[in-house]
Amino acid sequence: MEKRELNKILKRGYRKEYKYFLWFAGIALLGFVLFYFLPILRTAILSFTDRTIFGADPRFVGWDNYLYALTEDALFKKSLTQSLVFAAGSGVLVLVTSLMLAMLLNAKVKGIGIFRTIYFLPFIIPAFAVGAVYKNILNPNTGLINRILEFFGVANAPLWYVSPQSALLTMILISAMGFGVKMLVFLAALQGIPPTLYEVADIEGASAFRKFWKITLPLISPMLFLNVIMITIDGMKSFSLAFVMGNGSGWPANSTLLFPIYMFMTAFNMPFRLGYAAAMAWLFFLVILAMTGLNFLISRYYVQKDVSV
Amino acid sequence: MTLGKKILFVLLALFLSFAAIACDRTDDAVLRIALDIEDEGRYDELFTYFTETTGIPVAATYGLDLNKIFNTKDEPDLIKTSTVVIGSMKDLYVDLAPYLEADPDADASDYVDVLIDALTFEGKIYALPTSVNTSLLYYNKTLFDEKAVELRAAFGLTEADSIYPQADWSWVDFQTAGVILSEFTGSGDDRTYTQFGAEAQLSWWGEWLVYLNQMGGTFYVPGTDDRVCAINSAEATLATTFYRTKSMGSATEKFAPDAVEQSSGFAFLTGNVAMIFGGHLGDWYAFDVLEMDWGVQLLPTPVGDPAARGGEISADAFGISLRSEKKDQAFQFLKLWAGDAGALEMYKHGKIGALKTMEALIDALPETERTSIDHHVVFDAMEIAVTLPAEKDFAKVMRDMVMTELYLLMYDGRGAETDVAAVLSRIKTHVDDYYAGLYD
Repeated sequence: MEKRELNKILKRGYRKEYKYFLWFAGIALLGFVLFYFLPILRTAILSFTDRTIFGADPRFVGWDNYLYALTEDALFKKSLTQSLVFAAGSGVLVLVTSLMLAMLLNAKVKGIGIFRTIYFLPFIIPAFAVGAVYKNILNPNTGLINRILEFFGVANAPLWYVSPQSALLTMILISAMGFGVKMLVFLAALQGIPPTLYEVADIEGASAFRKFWKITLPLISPMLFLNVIMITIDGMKSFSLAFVMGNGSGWPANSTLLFPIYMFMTAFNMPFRLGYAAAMAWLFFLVILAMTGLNFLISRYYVQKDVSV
Repeated sequence: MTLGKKILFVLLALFLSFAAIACDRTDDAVLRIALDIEDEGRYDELFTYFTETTGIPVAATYGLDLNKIFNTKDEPDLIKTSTVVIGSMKDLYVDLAPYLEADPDADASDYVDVLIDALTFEGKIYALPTSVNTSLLYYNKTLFDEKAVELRAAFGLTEADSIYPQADWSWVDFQTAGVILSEFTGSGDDRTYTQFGAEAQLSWWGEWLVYLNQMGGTFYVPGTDDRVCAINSAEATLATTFYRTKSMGSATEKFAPDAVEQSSGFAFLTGNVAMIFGGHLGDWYAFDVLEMDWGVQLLPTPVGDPAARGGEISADAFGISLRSEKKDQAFQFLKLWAGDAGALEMYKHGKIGALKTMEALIDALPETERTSIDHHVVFDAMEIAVTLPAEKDFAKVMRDMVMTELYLLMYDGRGAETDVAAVLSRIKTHVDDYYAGLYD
């Protein structure tokens, strides 16, 4: 076959594939451009203006919004710090809970499917509902938890979400309910570990901790990394729970004011500063990008890339 | 047709479908008005009357998000605003001053002065007020009746005297009644309240700011273009101390829930709180739905200052969209809406018009068409009430910086504050810093 003819055939094949690509990806690409790319672009433009929802003629203000956020706005710093604390606290809690539960649910016992379903169920409850339920359970006066604590003689039961000192911590504790998907990711990873490795370790007389440290953790480390990334991003952009717990405004005393809530309040409460909120969104994006980059850097030290199971 | 063309055709069809849905506009001849969801069907008679007299049909939309309305750039001709938000929205409305000047039947002076002033910026009137909201003292008659004996004894009342709040009540009277109306078990620091004399507004400024105004204080330093906070004053300290004592005082002082108790469902609407200081007219509907036996009175004033400034006054208002193509027709409807006919129609639904003649209009109604609430109290309260500062960041400042710090005074425990002056001083610093770095 001549070279030219071969090229023709290859080109035809390529064109055919390209056709299918366009058919399947066209709509999705259009959706991406219309609903993601253009709004993102608009946000970038907005961030350099003093646009408000009801303002008729927005002015170009250069870097003013960015500078004001970074140098003047006390709530910008407070809400960002609280989001970082929340993401870290909630992240550790969710990570540990999901890994422990995944290991428990990896056991070969009768009715394990039912247990897996039960443990996954909390994940499908919306954060709004979780928040509302926990506000009742943790009410300092009438809530179940403090009633139990009082029954056991605890004199000064915690004020939970009513005190600015403990509201964020309370929210971190409640957020541990969000372990569902992470638990499944760990479970899938655990089920991919060949049992022979543990059998050999047993013959060698390895302790449970040593087996976990030397076999389990290295082999699930790629999934651990995936979960860390997901948990970090989820924690940073957490909104619903904080919205319910803080009555939509960071109550009490801005102690549950996470960054997405503050951004929302800035854009959609008086005086509706859309331009400033857009600048905040970009700064937030940069923070999350940096954190994700940091996660990738750190992952070099714990993710085993050469494991083959 | 090539594949590329087919794809383009599909995308074009999709785009046109979206565009067709987005451009589903109503008939151009119709005058459009945006109303709240609870107004649905309430003013149909007024619309019919307008159409019959002018030949212009009116179509109302209910409960639409203002943000979405303006983003379509096809907003209705008449849009709701208020004396509180007009500062942020004014650029989207037509100046009504020329219309009012040209119309012999309408005049800005027909409306309560402070309200029309609040809707006016640099001589331009951006909206006409349609219904008033003013702070009053609300009381639950049932809870008062249950404590009739104690109240009579405390106030030296005879059987013929009313046990309900009176127009000349001072803060001390308010507190005396409030303490009587509060119920608790235990004693000392171990009191557990089951009922309170008054509500505590911890996340909304409507109570605290009234105390400040009544004491003669202001939130901003006058003459600073509302950019410098004035609450490190003696008046602010006295007002805030009363506000705090009400919730945090001893058994003989406390008559409102603190922050912790507040989270347990104590509220006037729940029936376990006897009074609201600074409640608004917008709540009337809810009280009636719950079949509460309630009344209103003028706000109690600080001791020794019976002529103190009153509570807050604001108004719902309507303006004409700058993009409206039917501005003249819209003004005709607005005149009707904000005039006698509209005010009387709205009165049927528990709203009080912003006309200076409103009291007389209600007095002229047959007894059967009047609500059971003493409307003279509302007009007396309006006389001495003050509007909120027009500064557009005011609501944000109050929400994010003031009420958050005041909250720390309203509970016991770690992180709580007890030094009123120190908290006020900190608030002033926050607010001044906020404005110092803010562009206009």
